Amino acid sequence: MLNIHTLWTLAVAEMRTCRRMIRTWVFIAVTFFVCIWGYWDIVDVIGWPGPPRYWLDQMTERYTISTTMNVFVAIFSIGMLFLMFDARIRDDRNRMSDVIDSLPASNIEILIGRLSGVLIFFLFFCLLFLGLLTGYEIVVERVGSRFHLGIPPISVLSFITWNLIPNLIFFGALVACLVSLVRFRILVAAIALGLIYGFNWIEDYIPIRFQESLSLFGGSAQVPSDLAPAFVSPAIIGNKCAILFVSIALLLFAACMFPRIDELQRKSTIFGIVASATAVFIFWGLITSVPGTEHRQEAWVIEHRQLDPSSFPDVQHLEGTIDLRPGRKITLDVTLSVHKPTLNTTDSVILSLNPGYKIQQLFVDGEETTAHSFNDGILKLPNDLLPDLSHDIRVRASGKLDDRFAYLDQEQDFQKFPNRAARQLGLRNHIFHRDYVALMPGLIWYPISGSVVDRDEPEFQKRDLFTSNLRINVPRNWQVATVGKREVDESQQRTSYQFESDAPVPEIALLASEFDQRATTVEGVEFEILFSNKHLQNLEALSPLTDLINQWVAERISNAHAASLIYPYKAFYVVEIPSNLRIYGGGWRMDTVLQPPGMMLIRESNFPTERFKEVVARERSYGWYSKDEQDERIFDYLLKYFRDDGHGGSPFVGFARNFVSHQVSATGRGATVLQYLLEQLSNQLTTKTDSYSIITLAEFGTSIASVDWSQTPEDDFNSWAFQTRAKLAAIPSTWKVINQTALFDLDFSTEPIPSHRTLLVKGRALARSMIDHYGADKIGSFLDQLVHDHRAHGFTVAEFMDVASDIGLDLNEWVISWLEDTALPGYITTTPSVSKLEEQSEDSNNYQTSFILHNAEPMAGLVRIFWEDRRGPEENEFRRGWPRGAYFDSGPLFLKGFQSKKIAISSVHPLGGIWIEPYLSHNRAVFEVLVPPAADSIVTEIPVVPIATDDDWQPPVTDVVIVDDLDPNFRIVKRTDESQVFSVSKTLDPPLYSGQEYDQGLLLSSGIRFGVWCRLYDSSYYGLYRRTAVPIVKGDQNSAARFVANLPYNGKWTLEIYLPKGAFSSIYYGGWQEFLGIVFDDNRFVSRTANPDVPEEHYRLTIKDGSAERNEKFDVANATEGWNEVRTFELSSTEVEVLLSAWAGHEEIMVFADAIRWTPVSDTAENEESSP
Amino acid sequence: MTDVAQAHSENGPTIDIEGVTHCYKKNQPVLSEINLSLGAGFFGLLGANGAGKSTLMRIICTLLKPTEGSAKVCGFDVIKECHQVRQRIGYLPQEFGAWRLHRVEEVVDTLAALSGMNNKKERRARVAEVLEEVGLAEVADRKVKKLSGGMVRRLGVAQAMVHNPPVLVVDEPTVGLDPEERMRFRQVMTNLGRERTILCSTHIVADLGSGCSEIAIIDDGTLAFQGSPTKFLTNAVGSVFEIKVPTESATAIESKHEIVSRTFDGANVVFRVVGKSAGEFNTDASKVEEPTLEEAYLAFMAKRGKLEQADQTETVAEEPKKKKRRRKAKQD
Ligand SMILES: Nc1ncnc2c1ncn2[C@@H]1O[C@H](COP(=O)(O)OP(=O)(O)OP(=O)(O)O)[C@@H](O)[C@H]1O
Ligand SMILES: [Mg+2]
Repeated sequence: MLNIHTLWTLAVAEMRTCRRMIRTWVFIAVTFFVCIWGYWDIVDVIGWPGPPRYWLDQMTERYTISTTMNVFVAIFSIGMLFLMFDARIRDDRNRMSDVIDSLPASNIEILIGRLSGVLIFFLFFCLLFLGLLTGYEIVVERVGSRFHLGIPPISVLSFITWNLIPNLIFFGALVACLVSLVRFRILVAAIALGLIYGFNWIEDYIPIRFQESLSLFGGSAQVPSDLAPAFVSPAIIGNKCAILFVSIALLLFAACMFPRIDELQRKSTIFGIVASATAVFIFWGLITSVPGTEHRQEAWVIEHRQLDPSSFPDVQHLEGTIDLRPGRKITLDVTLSVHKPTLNTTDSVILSLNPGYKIQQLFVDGEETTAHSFNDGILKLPNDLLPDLSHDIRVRASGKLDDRFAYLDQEQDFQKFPNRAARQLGLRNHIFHRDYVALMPGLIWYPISGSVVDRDEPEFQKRDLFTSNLRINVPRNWQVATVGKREVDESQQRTSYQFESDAPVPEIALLASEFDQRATTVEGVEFEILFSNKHLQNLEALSPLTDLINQWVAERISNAHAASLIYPYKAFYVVEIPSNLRIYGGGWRMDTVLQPPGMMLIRESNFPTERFKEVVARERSYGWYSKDEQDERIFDYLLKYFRDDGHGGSPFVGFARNFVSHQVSATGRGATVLQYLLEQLSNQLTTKTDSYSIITLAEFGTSIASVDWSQTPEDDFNSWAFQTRAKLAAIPSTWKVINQTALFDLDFSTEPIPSHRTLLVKGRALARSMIDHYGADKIGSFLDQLVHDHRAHGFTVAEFMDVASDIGLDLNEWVISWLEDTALPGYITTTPSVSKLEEQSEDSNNYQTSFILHNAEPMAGLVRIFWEDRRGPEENEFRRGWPRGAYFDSGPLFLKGFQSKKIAISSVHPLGGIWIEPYLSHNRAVFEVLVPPAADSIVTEIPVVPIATDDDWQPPVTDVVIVDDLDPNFRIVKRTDESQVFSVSKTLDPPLYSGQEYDQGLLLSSGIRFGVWCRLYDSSYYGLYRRTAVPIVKGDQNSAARFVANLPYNGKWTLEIYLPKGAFSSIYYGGWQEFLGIVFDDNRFVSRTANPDVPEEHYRLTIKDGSAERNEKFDVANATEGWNEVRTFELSSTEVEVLLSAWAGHEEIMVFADAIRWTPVSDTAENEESSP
Repeated sequence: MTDVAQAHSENGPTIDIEGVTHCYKKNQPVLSEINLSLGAGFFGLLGANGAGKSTLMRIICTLLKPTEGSAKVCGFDVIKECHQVRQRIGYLPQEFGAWRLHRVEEVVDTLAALSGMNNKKERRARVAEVLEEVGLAEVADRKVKKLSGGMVRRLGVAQAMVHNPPVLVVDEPTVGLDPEERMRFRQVMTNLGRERTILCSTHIVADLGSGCSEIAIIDDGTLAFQGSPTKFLTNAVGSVFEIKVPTESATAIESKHEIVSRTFDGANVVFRVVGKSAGEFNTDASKVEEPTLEEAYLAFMAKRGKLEQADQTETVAEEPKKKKRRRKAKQD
């Protein structure tokens, strides 16, 4: 059907045409420019190691080429389009078409021939570009400059094979088809451009699970890896075949519609239909295989959920041999020492094992048995086989693990999201590659007790802890990491390792590869770093810091020692893992899997491939620092890097788990919370830092609502991890749960996200509070005692409390209430008074600022107070918003319910600000105490007093009634033109952007919006615990804010309204609009303050008491910041409603609904009231 | 070469047109019921502008589907077996331009390759030979856009014959050629016509030359004449007369009679005019015994009242054509 000679001749002619057309060269120049610019842009961004850069939408910059180079493909597709879209018209214009049409070539030959011409021509330039790029990369890498990405050749190859060529063919065929179909070339170009854009756009909406099979631009390097490189996968082959068939079909259809007599027309049509059918068939196969896997998994879940936990034995010890033939087969010969279930209501004992294995033999106490069954990963033994309490079950099995049999009960399937960032979390549950083996516990690669589902709900299923002694055989030169200290036996052709752990573990991971091994022993613990020998550059670059690092590690271990905690597994392995390994687990928590017992796994895309060399070089170039200082700075950078690590491979996340939480397991009520609390406590004791794992935060919910969280003067203020955590703690939906549900009552399995967020916020605060209140020593010995008493066994809340009281900790004081109750402290302060020394000097305290801090709630809690000692007013005029002075803090202050403390802060300069940071309270976030600008009194001496002293101040009791916008009765009311009656609308205002949160029924916003009442935070707003206000701009007469007050008695009351500073300054409305995916800034509206000369520009108030209704205008232009009197009313009812209209005479006037105040007017004061 | 031999050996006609009717617009036939059958030789297809010559040729060259009837080339149907037909023809369209950005040699070489000349060496030699034949050897390296109109025309001839097709269809090949080139062209065609079928349309009869073995005249979409030039000339005897008048009275003659040609003979003008008999002329008229082909054609057309359209001067609609090209050039 196709004559190669003809095709080649046509291609050559077409290439010649391309070569001689000016537009080709213009186009290539533009393409080169854009691509180089894009490349450079990334080079510039990734010059320095830092937290994961999600916006780059890829694993690592090194693989940029295969993912973000879609632009490259798109541009070249557009190029093809502009060369091909007028091919025929060009022939017509050249009056060549008749001659060509009378040539013996068939339509399809002509189409393919010419398409190949353009294709080869473009491909040449693509390859040239990629070649130059690769050459540049190599040279620059040799030279040692940071201005390169380190793109590995396999990535380029994958890009060319899977992305570039298939897409150029596809888009070429598409254009060819369009050219035959549509007569107007402008229309052809427009349609083709639209389609190219469309395909790129669709790409963002393909769920991850379908990406490999459906994506046009996908490559094998979706999640690329140096450690376990994968070039092809069945899905990618299928996908590319299907795309090829689509292209063929398009060409054949183009041939049919080609305006030229062709005897093959009918044949082309038939073949075209066949090709499209084939493509559809392949796609269908690819698509259905995914739900096929999911159905399989669902079926497994159903099978496993049916198992009765009473039939689950208790594994005591795991022993045996594991023979690894990487990429081929795993052979297990392991013996489980079990305690049979005591209250078994079924007739069998249940173990689980990955169904990829074939069980060859099964022995109970040395006797082979065939009475077992092994289906769906469930290994069922008849109860009768285990008559006594203790038995040995020996399993001999071999096979390859079934990758689908993992994390079956995961709460959410990230792969169902189109969010490409989620695929960066890894797609393979385990790795069994020729060069790398990662057997994760989630795959049940060794037999475990019970089912594989709901294992992270210790309330219902106790975590099974066991000791282990495993011999692992691997190919020669391979290294293995698993739990415990190892012994090497390199006698035969293969290497054998023996791992023994006396300390119990809940699970075991096994990693093996030809690692480069570096070991040191710190404080008796052997630390081994197992990295790929391709990724040693950082270890080398940082090797001068070895002492510092060892010292730091030693410090953490001795921190733990000081707190009576002992690292139990003797050896600790830091292992590099391929980036395509999935890093989060299943269950409701979907916790990181990078912290199995005795190990820390680091993704290759993280630290191993970052460029610390650059950091070292930069710091070394700062000659004014001494060598030690330089080391110190580099080390700081390293710590910061890990602290901000977003992939969970951070020592701050999981190292501490080994000390306590891997070794004991809570059961019964509140078990999850207790387990988490233990983890938090041990973490804060050892690393002195919060644990933070990206999985459990950002990814678990699809996104974290962006809220305007108050700024805090903390040092790692800019840290990404910190920001995320702060946001989490500020989300109203989290607070709703905190206020409604006690920690022990959280339902993790049905409401995992809010529950987990609550646990993270409240659990963390509780752990911090406990350590700061009771002291690290006390908590440490408590944990030690707990591990000692309950090692490898479960403990209940009661036992937890008992252990505490045994060592003299009274958790009943307040800790138990934090766990079992929703109550929280709430702090208020009085306005500070400032005294100033008459004669000032630069080196002693000249100012004293004092105020009362009062916990207005019954629940106890801790706070810290920060303040800024300002250097002087001159400087801060210039540098507004910068840290101006020195920051100090009070340390933890414990306030019981309703307790007050007098705070006295002595400072050299006037205070720039005071902030109260409650560990957790109804105040929610850090809040500022506004310091009066001028000193209240001049004194001759600043007394030396402690920062905080007990005080018996209590809030004054008055009849004054204040209704704030956070009052439960505060509502936005609306009316329709017909009804003329204001009522609370049932529907909430729709969010303005996705993920926008509601705060007590109102949209939470960081700025005032058009025509929508939104809740805003600002320390200048009025509020008891939280300073919020509800402003609106461009509102109308039909909407109002309603403040309802219940007064103690009727009579004469004065109404005041609170106006925050914001009500007197005009604002820009900074909005944005999206058109075709392009975001435009939209500053079209400026609000302003009311004009005092315009009598209409007043707030409109309606006061209703009982039946009477009074309309009132409030002159906002002449009001002042703070409370402003509206008028005194003679009220006939105790329930009074104040409506504040959204309309204040002009749409540009903002209306602030913040708070109102009713003050009774006594008769004696009556004469002073003058009414106009 | 084998094709040529084959074409020769076949006894049947190389081009066989049966009842071909073609309408561009419904019920307005441009060709109606054309029956034509050609063997080896050089055929002239004559007809006035718009007669339908090009249409017929396009049908033969598989570019147009006839509304009715069938056409066969070397025994292959132009529609159902178009691929076979295309392998056997060389075609020079009336409007030929070639890829403007390609060099002359490249164009011919590409088209030769596409016509099945796979052997690169042979092809090269043949391309050089053909370019020599049409007198383009010197500009073989020039890009098409830099060629003169006549050169492009010659390039068209070259590409049509480069692969030695058994059937050569050339639509007004001589338009724009200088007299020397026309002569050469006639020579080339005559040589080629010995072993293959050449269908050459023109309305300039002189261009057909002596090599022409048969002519066909299309008028108003119908075949008005088919036969050898001799027969055509014989038919014309008795229709062409010669009148010799003084220059002064020439205008009178011109207004009254249908003039075929005029020559000046001192103070006299010798007119050759079309008429039925010598008697119808006022002055002395003598029957021309051996009219030229041109005269015969004009006489033929004059009989059909189409002398105007059969004008044999070579200024054929150059003006509008140029305009058109300029407009297109602008679009570039
Ligand atoms: N594509 C077309 N669409 C409609 N009508 C056409 C088309 N091509 C030609 N015609 C008409 O068909 C008739 C025959 O045209 P054709 O080109 O065959 O004439 P011709 O004999 O080759 O004339 P010329 O000597 O001027 O080349 C003319 O009336 C012309 O207007
Ligand atoms: Mg014509």
